[in-house]
Amino acid sequence: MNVENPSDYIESWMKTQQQAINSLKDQAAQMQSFFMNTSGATDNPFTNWTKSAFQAFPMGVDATLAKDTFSKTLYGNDAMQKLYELWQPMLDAIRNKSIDPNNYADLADPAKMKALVEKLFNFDIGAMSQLQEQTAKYADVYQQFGKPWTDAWINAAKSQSSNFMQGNFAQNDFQPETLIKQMQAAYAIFESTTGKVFSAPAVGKDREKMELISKCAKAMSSFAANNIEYQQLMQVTGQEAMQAVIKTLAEKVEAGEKFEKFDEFFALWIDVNEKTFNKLFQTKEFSKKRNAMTEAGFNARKLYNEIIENQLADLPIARRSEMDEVYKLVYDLRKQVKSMEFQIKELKTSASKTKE
Amino acid sequence: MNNPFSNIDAKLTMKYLGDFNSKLIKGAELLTDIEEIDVGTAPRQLIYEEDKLKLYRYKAEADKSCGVPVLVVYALVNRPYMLDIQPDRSFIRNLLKLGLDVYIIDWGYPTPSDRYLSMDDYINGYIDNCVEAVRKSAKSEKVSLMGVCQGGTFSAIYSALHPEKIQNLITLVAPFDFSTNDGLLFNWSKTMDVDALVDAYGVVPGNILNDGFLMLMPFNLNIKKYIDMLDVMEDKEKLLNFLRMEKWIFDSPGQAGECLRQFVKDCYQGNKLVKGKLKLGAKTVDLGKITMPILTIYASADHLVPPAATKPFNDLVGSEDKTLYEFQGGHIGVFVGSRSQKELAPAISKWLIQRDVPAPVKVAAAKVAPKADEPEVVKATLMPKVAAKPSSPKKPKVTNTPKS
Repeated sequence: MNVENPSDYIESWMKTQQQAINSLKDQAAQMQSFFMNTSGATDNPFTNWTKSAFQAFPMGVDATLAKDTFSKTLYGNDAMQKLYELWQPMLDAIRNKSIDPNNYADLADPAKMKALVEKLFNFDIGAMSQLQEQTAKYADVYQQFGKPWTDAWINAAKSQSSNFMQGNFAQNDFQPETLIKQMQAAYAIFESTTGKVFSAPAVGKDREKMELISKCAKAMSSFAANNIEYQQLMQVTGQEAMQAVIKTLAEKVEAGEKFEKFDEFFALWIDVNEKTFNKLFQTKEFSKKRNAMTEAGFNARKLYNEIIENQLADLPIARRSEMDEVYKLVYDLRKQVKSMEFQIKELKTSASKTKE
Repeated sequence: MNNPFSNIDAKLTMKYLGDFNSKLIKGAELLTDIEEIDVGTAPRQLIYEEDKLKLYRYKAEADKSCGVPVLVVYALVNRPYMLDIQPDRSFIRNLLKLGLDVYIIDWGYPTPSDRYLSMDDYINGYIDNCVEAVRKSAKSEKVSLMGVCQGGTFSAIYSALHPEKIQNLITLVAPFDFSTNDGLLFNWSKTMDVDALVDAYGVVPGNILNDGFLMLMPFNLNIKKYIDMLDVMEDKEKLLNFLRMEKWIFDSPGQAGECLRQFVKDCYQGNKLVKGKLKLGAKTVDLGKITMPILTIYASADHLVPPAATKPFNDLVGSEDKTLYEFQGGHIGVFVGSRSQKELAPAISKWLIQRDVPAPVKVAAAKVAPKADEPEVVKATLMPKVAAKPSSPKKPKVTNTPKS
């Protein structure tokens, strides 16, 4: 590389980075494919619900109408769009009157759920404000589109077993652990096969740099694995919250209660979701998974910074670690100066007292 | 069909949507009209500054009711103008109207060069220098410390290490006993790898901590709050109040890494303050050395600092005169809630006046205090340390007297 021309240097380095990222992306795609094609990975958490919904749904829902409706009411909103994409397979299934669980695989698509959950829990406030506006606009077409959905909920609730009515999905065929176990198994397989490449000692020139890149790649894959586990936990909890909303609705039906305004339903939705997630947040499992995810992220960031530093070493610019040394020096000097100032003042005070 | 939604009337919904649209349009107009979201408007003057820190003295709004000045120590997280968020909801103005002489520390916004600041620097350095500056400015031998949240923890630590300078200690919604798991923050922090966080960032960005706060109630704080905002959008004053709070919430300074590291490790994870094992520099903090009168205020519905983290404090101090005060509300409601405006400042003021010294005591080395309109700013220098008499409680023992 020509270090005398920073622009060429950086361009060349960026190309290398791009290649590395592409390689990682390919690998991630393969892993994704592995997850989704492994037996049991398509265990659909919504199977119970969708079956009953399908059975209870007396009429087909036109997918175009559904899409148009969503796009009219939720236009421009990424979070809602992602929510729609997540549910699209089920809409298709309802329209086609098919109950093939494979059609619902997308519902368990970690990437899609991750994107949705990220919108909710990474606190993109801009998106959130949009979300609220558009959620409110949902009322605009509720009369037109909402009723069949509501009817489906009610019919489903009625036609389901007592377990369903009590919200005990987990006791039926929904096993949230399945997905995560497979992810762990996949990661273990990766570690014992391709992953070994990342652990192998580098040889030749630039050995240390190569090792650092390997470490960073490993840290990033560790972050990805932890992040998937974390997102999966949030996803499962989101499903629980949805079930809890349905259960509460069913109870309202049984009690003969009705909503007077959309606000009442919204308040219920917020309340149930908040309580369900709060229950999760109280658990040690959540703390453990969230901390594991963030810790892995911080570690990856630290290593990435080191790589950047290595790459910039030949350029005439101050690097982070060098600035840290300066900060430390300034900090120590400040303390010394303050201490000396204090001593001088004390001496002056005592001298003036002695004069008096 | 037995449908819970069948009662939603189409005409009513249309009317609702019509009203909603009107609100949106009017709200949008109002939003474009609002140029500045003013906060922290109570008049004040800068009397001391050091590094990023600034110490202000508020302009008196009534005849002095208390000889001893009050120094407010706010948390490092978020900005202290929460205490003066808007003119009609200002904890500070309420104190001023009751004749208190109020000073406040503004920690500023740490930059990467502040990453090595430790708890020792904040407490034995900055707070001590501010106490000295207040003593000099107010010509008072002692100071009443009023610590808010983390600032309350710091104030208690300071009072234990320098009891001779503190007349009274008031803490508001401050954590002391970190062994509790009542609050999510306490729960999460126990297993948090703060080393990884600090090593990755140096000065930890405020938005990382803010994300954690918002996650305590994600649906209410990220969704419902903004839906509710629509109800006040057409009222300029209400909208401004909402925006002031929003500004405060997202105005989160970064955290000096070393200080945060020690606070999480020693307090949240080690609970060393309660155990008497917390060390600052060469000194060990012994809460038993707090002998001045103390007023411990906690909020019954505090989701950030649960009562269980605050209440044990009174049993750990050496003071004979100690009061535990329960405020019916949440962590922020203590300062901005409508009940707080009527209740809290008068209670604190009354408590302080009851324990006030008869007249201000002259400090030997102090200069004449600056007049209200002639601020004398002391910059980046230490105040001369003035010997102070040890604290002697003036009132009989009062314990567990909520809602005075």
